[in-house]
Amino acid sequence: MKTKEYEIIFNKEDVQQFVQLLGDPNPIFQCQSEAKVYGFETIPLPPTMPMIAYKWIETPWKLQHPLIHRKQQCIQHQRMYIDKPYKGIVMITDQFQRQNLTFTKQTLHLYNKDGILYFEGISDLISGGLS
Amino acid sequence: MNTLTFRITEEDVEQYADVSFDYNPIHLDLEEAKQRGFTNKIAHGMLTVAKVLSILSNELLEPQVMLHKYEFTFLSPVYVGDQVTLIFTQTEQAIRIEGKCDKKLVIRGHVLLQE
Repeated sequence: MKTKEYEIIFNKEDVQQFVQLLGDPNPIFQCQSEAKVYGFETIPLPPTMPMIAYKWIETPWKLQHPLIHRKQQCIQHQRMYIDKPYKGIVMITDQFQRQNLTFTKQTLHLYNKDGILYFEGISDLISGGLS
Repeated sequence: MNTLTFRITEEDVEQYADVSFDYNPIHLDLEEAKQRGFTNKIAHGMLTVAKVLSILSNELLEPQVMLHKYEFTFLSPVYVGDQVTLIFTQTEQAIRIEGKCDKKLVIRGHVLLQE
């Protein structure tokens, strides 16, 4: 099972809101000029930020509450930046049932416009079921 | 080995819900959390990871270092108001991280830096 493909663009305000809530003072996330001082073309994304792409992706399946996040693995294959268009897809890569619980491995893939993989976020979730 | 701490506040959880659109009631509704067997509202797993990696990057690494890969297991809930104590251990291949609330292990994982 997988979602359709969504275009995802993170903007400067998204990054600023994200680092502000974390209290993250890293200068590379503050503005373009600071990012350039450290050799970046523009503001890069904080390492966990690609996972919020979920808010723009509609999954055709619903994991029933209570939904518990058991494990998370993320691989950033390339640096991701603000204002770049990415393509996002989520797929269920494994699933099994034990007693009344459903164990789901769900993977977020983010590609650039040329289809090069930039990010994988593999989530192990426990839910009350799947509909 | 380095030890650092952070606290998860109610505001952190509410703001993370707004940023991520993850409004699972176990994070935001005390009664719902209690009905699910928790003693308080719990932090989003990715909020905890984001805080851990922010501290790692700012306290122990150069600002521009890319975290190529990270993996964390959520062993116990991190509750709103909890202080998390992080223990960072550098090995040849990775930075290993354990997070404890009081003496209870709540998160364990590792980070690989870009080669």
